[in-house]
Amino acid sequence: MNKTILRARNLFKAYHMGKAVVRVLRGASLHAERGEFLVVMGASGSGKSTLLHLLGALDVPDKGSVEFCDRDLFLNGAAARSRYRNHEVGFVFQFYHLLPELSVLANVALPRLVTHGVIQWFAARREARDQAKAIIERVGLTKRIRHRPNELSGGELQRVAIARALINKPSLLLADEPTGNLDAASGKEILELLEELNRDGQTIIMVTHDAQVAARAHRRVQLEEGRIRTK
Amino acid sequence: MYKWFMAWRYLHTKLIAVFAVLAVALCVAMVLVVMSVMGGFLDMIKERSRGLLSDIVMDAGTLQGWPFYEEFAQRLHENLPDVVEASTPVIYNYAVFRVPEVSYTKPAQVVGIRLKEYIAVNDFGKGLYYERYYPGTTHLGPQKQPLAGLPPLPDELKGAIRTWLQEECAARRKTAETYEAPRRSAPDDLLETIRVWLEIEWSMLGKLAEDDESPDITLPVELQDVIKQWLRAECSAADATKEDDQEQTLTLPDGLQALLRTWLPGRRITLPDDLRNANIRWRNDDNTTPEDIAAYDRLPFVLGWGPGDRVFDFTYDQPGYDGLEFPGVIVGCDLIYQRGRDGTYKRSYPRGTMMALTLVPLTASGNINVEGPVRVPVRYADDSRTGVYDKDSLCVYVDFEMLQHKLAMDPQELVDGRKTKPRTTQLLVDLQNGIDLLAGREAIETEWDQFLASQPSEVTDVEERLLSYVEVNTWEDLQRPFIAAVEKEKVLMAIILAIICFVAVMLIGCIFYMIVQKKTRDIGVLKALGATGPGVAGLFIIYGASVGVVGSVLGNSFGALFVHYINDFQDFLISLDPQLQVWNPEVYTFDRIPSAVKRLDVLGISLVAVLSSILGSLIPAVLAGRVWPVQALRYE
Ligand SMILES: Nc1ncnc2c1ncn2[C@@H]1O[C@H](COP(=O)(O)OP(=O)(O)OP(=O)(O)O)[C@@H](O)[C@H]1O
Ligand SMILES: [Mg+2]
Repeated sequence: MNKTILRARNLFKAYHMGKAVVRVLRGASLHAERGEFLVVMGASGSGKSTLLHLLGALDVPDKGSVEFCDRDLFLNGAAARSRYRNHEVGFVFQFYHLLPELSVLANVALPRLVTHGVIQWFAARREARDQAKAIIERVGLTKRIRHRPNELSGGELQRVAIARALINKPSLLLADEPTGNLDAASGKEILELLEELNRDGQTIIMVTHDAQVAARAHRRVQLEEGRIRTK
Repeated sequence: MYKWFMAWRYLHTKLIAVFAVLAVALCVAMVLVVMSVMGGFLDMIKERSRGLLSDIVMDAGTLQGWPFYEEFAQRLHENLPDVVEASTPVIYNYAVFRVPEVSYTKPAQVVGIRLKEYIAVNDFGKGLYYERYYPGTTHLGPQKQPLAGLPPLPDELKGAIRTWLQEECAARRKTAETYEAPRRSAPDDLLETIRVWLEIEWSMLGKLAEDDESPDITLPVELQDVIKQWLRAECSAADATKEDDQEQTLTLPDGLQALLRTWLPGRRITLPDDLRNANIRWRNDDNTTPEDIAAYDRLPFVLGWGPGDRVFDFTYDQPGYDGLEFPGVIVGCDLIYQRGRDGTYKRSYPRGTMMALTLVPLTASGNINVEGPVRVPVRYADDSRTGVYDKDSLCVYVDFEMLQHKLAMDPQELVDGRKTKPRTTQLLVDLQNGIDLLAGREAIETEWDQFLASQPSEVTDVEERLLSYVEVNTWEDLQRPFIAAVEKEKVLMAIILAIICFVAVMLIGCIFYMIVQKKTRDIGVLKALGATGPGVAGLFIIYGASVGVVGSVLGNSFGALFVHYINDFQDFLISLDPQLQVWNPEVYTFDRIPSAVKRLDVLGISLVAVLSSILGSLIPAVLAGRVWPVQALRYE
């Protein structure tokens, strides 16, 4: 099996705001190895989130390619990218992005609901629930399983978000400043959780501008002027 | 699966969804109520129309009618015994209707029928008032004024009254201390006056029977005056000094009161045997049952309530008939009576009231007969309520043969000694049970064509022309303009309903647009988790459909409930303020708001509601499908 799980080549991305053009990525290239804990650093506004969104196929680059297991994400259609997001990638956002109407359990199980059609779901629902419960236990929120997101603290929310990202056993966990919105203690807990996951073999690409946070990674790269510099 | 899951979640956690559901429910309920009432109305009209006519109507198409109807009727019965059950000729014409006694006139459609045959081919008999309570008493033949009789006072009571009057007389003399045995007993005419008072005041109006507290039977002032006058005259011979009891009231002694109290409640008016209680109008409404009448047979009779006074005459001891014989007439209820707010009629004309019809006889060619208009005096035999206001406010029914004669439609002698053929304007044909209406019409039409082809040579040109005007119609054909009008109204309603639907679509569109706007971030999340664009659009369409389904269920339930209690609801409104009466029976023909919730309507409305909801959610759903996840997720 190939050791390199994700390879981004020569990515260009610009935003057009009226007449002004913001060239965010200008030939960024990046690769991630299986089982690696990679950190992308950069100043605020340098384009880290933009890069991560491209890696997660949430957005489309102007130029360049992203290969997942040697397959180019942007050569296939939108349906294939949806599948990729659902099956291969787990996304953790800075602002958690949980659905307020759903309980912790439902939020965590949501990617699984997306995976299955109606009929398949009835076959798979027991297993899905058990898995969701197991993951919630793993992130230490078993007591909160019936709660709504607005009843949880920031750290707890982020743990729910991580649990949700993990439910479909993704090959890749993409985290966009998961600690950016948390106090030091909660941030530390989250980082420890991620490290623990990584130790169990989870490939993680994390974005941060915090050097202390970055210190925990195997490998750090710097995003500057739209390009990746390896440290 | 997330589509269903999220749609369900949004449906019962989002308050705004309640508004969407309510909007749909309201539209559905409104449409259902309108459709049920209109549908019910149409059904009722059809049913009533059917009841008014017979299966097949052969119409003259002209006012002067068509000849040879008897020959054709006979031919029908001979040649089509399997198709034709019964037939009867009917004459339609116009008349001035008049009640001479009260100088009341109306334009009327005069209908000449053979009552027995006519009742056999349609529902006319069911709407006759007196006939319903006193079966067999209504007929259109010559009839006299029926009168109720009142038996004379029993001797015992007469004696008691005489004794009392004598005592009064004697008392007066005693005060003058010139006591003497009474010379004369009270005269018969005074007793008769007392009797009339008793009958009117106590017996007839049932005061004693109804009033448990048994008030004192007090003499009215007028009667006291009459008695005092007599007493004065009686006493003056013996004692001229005692003449000043003018102020004193005259009271009946206790003994006499007790006697009256036992005797009066048992008093009965008696009626002509064959008419039994037919002249008695008891509660003046259609709800009176024969049992009611049997229980109160002595009670109601016409006295001082209007023109009906003549029915009862105190000078008659025995019931019977009086006056000249005149043909009977059945009058459309609304032609002579006002319908009360509660849908009942105050029948102020007693049976036997004289009425008159002024007719204009026409010759076969349609010219006015040389004799000019004829006046036909008739007696009020019954009134008819078919339930169709147009008929009930216009039609008077008289005997076919009588009308035919008066309109000169019976055989007329010509200058050359030949006689014309009798004419009718319609021939009603009742088909055998199970014969299809259209098939029946076809058979009769064929028969008619053959009949025309085989006409004997004696037919005159005019007669031939009249025959060519004759049309064979089913009752549906004849009511078509009316039914078509209501159906046209239904189309109009459908357009309005379409607008309502459109409004519902817009409303749902707006509400869903708001939801999609508010939920952009969540949509982004779903997409980030792998939901596809069509998938998210599907979610909102399922959401829309669920709103439609829930709205339909609620709306249909509410609508059906409202329709079920619609009349009670109107009664309630009327009880608040009579002005709030929505359904005017005089305008709409029926007393009650007709309504019927039909399963097909419910199904159709639900389908339209769900489709509308889906349609309304379509644009927002597409927008939701197009949400670009990155845009949605960028900021908190
Ligand atoms: N949709 C957009 N339209 C216009 N400009 C955008 C858009 N998204 C990002 N940008 C711009 O692109 C640049 C990079 O944004 P990005 O969010 O990737 O930076 P970042 O490194 O993640 O910053 P931060 O550390 O603050 O999260 C910024 O200058 C931002 O203003
Ligand atoms: Mg960022």
